[in-house]
Amino acid sequence: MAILFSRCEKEMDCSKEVVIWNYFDHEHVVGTHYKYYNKCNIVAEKDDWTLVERFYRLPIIGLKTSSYGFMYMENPNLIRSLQFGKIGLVLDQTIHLTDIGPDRCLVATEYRLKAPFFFKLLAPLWKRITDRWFINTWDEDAPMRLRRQKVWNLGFRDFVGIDYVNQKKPQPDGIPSNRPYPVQLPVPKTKGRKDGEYERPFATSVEVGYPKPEQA
Amino acid sequence: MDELKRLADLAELEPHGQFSKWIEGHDILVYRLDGEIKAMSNICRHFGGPIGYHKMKDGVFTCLWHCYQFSAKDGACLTNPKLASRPYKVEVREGAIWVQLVENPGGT
Repeated sequence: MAILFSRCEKEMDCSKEVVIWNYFDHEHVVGTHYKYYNKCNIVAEKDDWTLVERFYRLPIIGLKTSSYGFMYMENPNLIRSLQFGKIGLVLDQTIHLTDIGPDRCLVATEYRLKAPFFFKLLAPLWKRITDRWFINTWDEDAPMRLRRQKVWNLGFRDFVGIDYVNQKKPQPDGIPSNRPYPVQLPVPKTKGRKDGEYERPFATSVEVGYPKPEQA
Repeated sequence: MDELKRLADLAELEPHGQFSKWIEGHDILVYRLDGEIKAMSNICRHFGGPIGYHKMKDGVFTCLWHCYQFSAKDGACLTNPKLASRPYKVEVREGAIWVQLVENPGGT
């Protein structure tokens, strides 16, 4: 048995609780990451663990495949995900989260692929794939996390929105910029989608992008 | 009735016929539908995603994050009828797009 190892880390301008929300929000993979994931099936989920089947395409080699992933909170600063692939490979992923300031954290991800011994030969390719995967998904998750933190700090509530927007009222004075972000697991799901299955509505899109920032 | 706020130049609607922009704690999606310029909140009431990230298709916006869909006609949420997007009154004058952020000024 060979263990192929890869590590990536980056800083993020949001609280680590927002990052935890992002990892446990499984529905978003077919939305935010629609270019890679085409389907996701939440098989079972309770409290701080979940079993999810995901269907996706690997970068660089373009292989379409799927895996079952078991994800749980090892402790408030560590997410662990074990993904079981179709051909007997097991990916053991740990996500270490460290607060480094108000609404700022460090995310360090380690990948350990347990594979037959001959996979040692594929170590350089494996590292390229995981590095690319991390960069691509990070680049798509980062604005999601920042926006989530921003709307949260404006008073956003899930399945409600922002009260002063909905009610067409003036923005209240003195909205605290450090509104606590509680970790609520499992993340609330969209009702009416059958059997926990989520499919992307389209594979290609004309992307207009995130909103432009406010002018000074 | 609160005053209109200048959001953007009219030219910002090109090349996609839509754009979104933050102004004073509002994220506003402006778009052209059947020749009319309209605006709605760009903040999906599900989890806060950007409704106008993708270009409108067949009169429907699909939020990037979780694929909630909204009618461009009136902001109705097609995924969950309880989560309609708030429309904004919009005016075009002097080559710019103006929006009304507040319609209940007495509120707090």
